[in-house]
Amino acid sequence: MEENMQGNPSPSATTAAPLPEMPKGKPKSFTCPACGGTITLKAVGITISAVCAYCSSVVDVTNENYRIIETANQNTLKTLIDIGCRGKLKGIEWEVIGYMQKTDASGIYPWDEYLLYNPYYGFRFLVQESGHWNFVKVLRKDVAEAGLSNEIWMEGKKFAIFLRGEGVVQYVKGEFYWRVRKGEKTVVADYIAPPRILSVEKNDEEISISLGEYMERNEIASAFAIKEQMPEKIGVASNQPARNQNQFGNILLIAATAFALVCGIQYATASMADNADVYSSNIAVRPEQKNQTITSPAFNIPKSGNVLIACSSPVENDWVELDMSLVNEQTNTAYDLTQAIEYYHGYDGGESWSEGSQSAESFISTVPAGTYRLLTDMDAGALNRNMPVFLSMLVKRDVPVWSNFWIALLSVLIYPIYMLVRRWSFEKDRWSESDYMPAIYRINEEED
Amino acid sequence: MNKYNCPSCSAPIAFQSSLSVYAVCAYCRSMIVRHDVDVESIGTMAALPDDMSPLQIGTTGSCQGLTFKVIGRMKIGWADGVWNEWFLDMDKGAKGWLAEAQGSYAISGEIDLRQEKSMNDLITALTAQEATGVYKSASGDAALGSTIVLGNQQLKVVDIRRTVCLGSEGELPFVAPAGRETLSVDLSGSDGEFCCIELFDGAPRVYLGSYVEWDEMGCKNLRALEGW
Repeated sequence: MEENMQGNPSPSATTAAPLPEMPKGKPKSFTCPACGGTITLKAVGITISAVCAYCSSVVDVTNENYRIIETANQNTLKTLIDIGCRGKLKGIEWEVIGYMQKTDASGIYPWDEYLLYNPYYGFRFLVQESGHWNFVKVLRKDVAEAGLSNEIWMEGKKFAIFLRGEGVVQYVKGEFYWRVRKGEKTVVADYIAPPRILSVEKNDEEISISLGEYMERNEIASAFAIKEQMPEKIGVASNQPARNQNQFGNILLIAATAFALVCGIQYATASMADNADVYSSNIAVRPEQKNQTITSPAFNIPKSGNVLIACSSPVENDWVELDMSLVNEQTNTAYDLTQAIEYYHGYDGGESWSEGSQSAESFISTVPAGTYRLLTDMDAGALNRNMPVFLSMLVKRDVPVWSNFWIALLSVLIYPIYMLVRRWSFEKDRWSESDYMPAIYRINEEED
Repeated sequence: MNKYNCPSCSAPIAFQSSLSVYAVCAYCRSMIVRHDVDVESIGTMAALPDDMSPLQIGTTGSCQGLTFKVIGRMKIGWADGVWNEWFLDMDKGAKGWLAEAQGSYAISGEIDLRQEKSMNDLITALTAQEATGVYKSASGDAALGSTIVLGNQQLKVVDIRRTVCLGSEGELPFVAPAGRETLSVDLSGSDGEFCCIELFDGAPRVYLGSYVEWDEMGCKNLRALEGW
């Protein structure tokens, strides 16, 4: 009966009493078993090893069992960002709770790994190597072939192998959610799809896959209010994005559009040009006419526009020089020009050669409409030898103009070509640190 | 909702989920087991180890369109750490689990997958090897790193560990006193799928779900965290 009273659903229980409030989550302090200093944990309940800030001993804090894992006779290393610093990256505030200095197997190339914590968002890593920064998140998913293959496809992007090597923990401070140990080695494979980097790290117990994103050093400096000089950037980082990387495709697209436009405009104007002959003649100039001006009949240029004067003479190892003047009958305005026709050829040492040409052209960009004559004074090698000279003259108006086209084309293409070359050289610098440089960047490499 | 009074301190105890059979009194920490008509106290639960979890009993959120309310928790320990398993009362009477480990979150529900051959083979192999502590897959390779196939999804075994319940609070669908030991096997897929096989006393339970980002859950009624 008594049990019934307590156990059965009872009317008194329907008035819901508020639950006792959950105590606030807060950092937890304990005494270092080695030196008696106070160690304060931030990621309470998750951290399993912590380093004493006073004596650098590594303490196992799993299950609140404070046992020394390693006593270190080492001074605390000053780092660019201190343990306890907070900064906002990608809109989320992070606290630096751990720091590891790692090197490659040779111990020559060091890098920094800061462990960041936010009780809602978990953990991230901030990695600094040669002045380049990466913001890294451990992936909670299976990545097939990670570490084995030379490329990994993820979220529609190809990650290309960049490096295979080893990482060795050289120094630690702060707290960690794993058993941290100096001298701990991991086998690393880095794959890149700038600005992202996929790292596969393997130790005796597990494989960890993480995705990093390149960060500009001034973002880091302002996020953590770093007053000191940021480490200088050295070289191109494996996953450093090229400048304008995102606009690169657009720039090429714009260049291709402009190229098509320039060609289209040229085609349209060329096909609309009248390209009409206004005067032509074939004459033979006798030696006695050498000092006489040859005057053409009057011809009409019906519309203002350009004029092309093309002359040719069948000279063989000889020359013709023309002083010409296109003269407006009404205004007497003269457009002066000179042309030299020279053509030499021969056969020397078993090879035939030639230079010069049997024709010459002159172009006048704008000539008003009107009636014109062409006045020509000629000197020629043949005349001096008392031989006649045959000369063909052709005057055309409104001819298609190509020079503007070439200038336009050059100005459209020069920037994209410059960009392509610069990008190529940037990518070559990037891959120069890798054993997996793609063939396209190996041009100019010395063969061993 | 079934309401009772704590056999020890008479405080009201409400079982919000019809699936819950066990609760810890929020006032006196008595462990209470629900029988058909009455409740029984089986002892007292020590205080749970501290943590910085932003979640608490009463936190609400959502996952793939289903809203949930946190109604219980088990704190699980293993050789290299501790994590939280939060018991969720979900829409339409569904129940689920929110695993919170090393700052990552996975929501899953219990599913009977023993009909799936590849899952069944793995469970059979693990059950047979539990006494030895050396785990091999059906093909004889190390079980850790081996894969199974469910439908067209491949899942890889990423963790095999003996775990112990360090304590519990709120209400749970089984009795979870401190010291309850299980073998826990985690699997993950290439799209963030999460699967956990638990062997308790030789009986397997399979949970299937996915990893979720903190912002996706839109949690409310969170625990206060000093400094954050």
